[in-house]
Amino acid sequence: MRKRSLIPILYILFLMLPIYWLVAMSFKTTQEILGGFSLFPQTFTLENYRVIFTDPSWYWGYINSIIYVSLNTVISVCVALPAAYAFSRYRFLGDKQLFFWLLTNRMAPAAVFALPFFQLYSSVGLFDTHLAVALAHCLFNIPLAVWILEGFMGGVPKELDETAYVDGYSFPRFFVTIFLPTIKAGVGVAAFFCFMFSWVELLLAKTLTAVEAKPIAATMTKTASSAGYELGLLAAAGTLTIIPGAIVIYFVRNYIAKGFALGRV
Amino acid sequence: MQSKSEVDFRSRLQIWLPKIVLSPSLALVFVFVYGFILFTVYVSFTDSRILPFVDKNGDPTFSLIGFTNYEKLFSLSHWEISLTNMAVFAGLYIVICSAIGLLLAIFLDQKIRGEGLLRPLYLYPMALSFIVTGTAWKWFLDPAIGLENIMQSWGWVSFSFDWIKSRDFAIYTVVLAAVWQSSGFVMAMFLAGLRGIDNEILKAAQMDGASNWNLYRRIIIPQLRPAFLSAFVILAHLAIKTFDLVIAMTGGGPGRATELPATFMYSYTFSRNQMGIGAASAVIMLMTIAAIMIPYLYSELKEKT
Repeated sequence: MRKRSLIPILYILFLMLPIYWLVAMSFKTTQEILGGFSLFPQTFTLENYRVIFTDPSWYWGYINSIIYVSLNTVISVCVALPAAYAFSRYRFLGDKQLFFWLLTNRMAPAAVFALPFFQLYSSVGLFDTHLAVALAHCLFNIPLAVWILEGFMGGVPKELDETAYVDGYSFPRFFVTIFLPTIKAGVGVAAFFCFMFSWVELLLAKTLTAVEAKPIAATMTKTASSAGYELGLLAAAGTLTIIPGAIVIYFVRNYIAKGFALGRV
Repeated sequence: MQSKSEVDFRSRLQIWLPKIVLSPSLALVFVFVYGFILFTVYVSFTDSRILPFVDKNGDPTFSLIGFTNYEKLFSLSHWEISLTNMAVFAGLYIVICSAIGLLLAIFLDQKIRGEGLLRPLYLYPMALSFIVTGTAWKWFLDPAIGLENIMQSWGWVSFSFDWIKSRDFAIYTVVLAAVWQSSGFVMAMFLAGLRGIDNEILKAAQMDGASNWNLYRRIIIPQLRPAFLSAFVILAHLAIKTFDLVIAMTGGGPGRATELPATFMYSYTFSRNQMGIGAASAVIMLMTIAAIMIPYLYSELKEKT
């Protein structure tokens, strides 16, 4: 028993290492970080966090990121739901090929899309808006969401739909009151992956924004290069970006296992 | 009571509904994915230097120059470096991730306590921004404030670990951080594969006296072939797309030691305003991914239908 859990535990330590480093640094002063090693902060300070929460150029980064990520998650899941339903409930010519083809699109490198998006958004005035980034990320997230949702919907027997019709449910009412609650795990997993992708994507988010909708990650890279050694501040900013992911993972942790069981994650 | 036409209408609706529901999103995908890819391909054949591509009068700010950008691209030592780095990075990344992922999956498959807790923990790095983890790794590996400093202050004075600052080794630190980020995900893929293996076969083999090692080598791992294949495809395309991690950890440095195609594309397109060359490099990246994806999909589809 001991030996068995040794390797997973070592791996957990390996996983925690840089995160711990980051969190510990965020409570230190920059002098302490540069002054030498300490496992725990010697002079525990919240100064770094205070700066982030009071300086608009910092906290707007978070707000921007959260706005476009949520926007993207909502759009992706809403668009993917009917598409996934169609794929899971109806057989039509070339449906399997179409399904896989849809999925391959998200493999294309973001670099290919950066220039055209930039050009398009500049000409329609969407450049540097939250919607711009949210829509650009849809390109990658909708196929993924369709794929995940289709997997979950496939697990729901078709009889459920038919019984509902017999009982006189209209399609929209059936979909919202019966079908959606049945596949809520799928919706959770799909939303989680959309959220995650959009939250970590940088190339498009950075290219398509300048000031108004600049994501936090871009703010961090800029500070890293220009301000030089505001290490504690950067560490605090990094720690704060860890939190949304942790919250979302916490909420969908049970669903994720189901997603893996279906092979759809 | 339903009249005949109503039945007809219903069954027709059954046939057409999926197409109606799907067509808007498919049309959008066509325009955005393929339209945009074509646009990028087009830009790669021009000498465009200014954004946006049309001036106030609607006249284009560029002219077509054929394959010159591709010729230029492959004569640039900068591009050559990023390709070499890519090969080193992708090779190590894929092999190490698969190895760690498989090992962890095998251990987790023993139904150890707390699996439910461990699994999300393993996935957690995937939910972190590469910028953040890249920065964390950068600090941890930095000789002045990270690992080297700890070891020396613990009395191991001769300890030295400055790979991140060295031209020859910096790329390996990027591999380390990338493996850290995605091996949990690969583990999850292998775990799903392991759980899918028929227990009867395993029991039969154990009855016949197969050792654990042989069991894994002869029966389990060959059965994981599809999992290996999908892990390879996913890791390969992630490797080619790697951008943020390098930006956060090394910024492509020291010198150009960790420059990858995606960072090359970004710096040529958006910092140096050499859109043509940037677009050409993006097209090459796309073609590389396609070269991996298309045979994979082909085989997947053949199996399914």
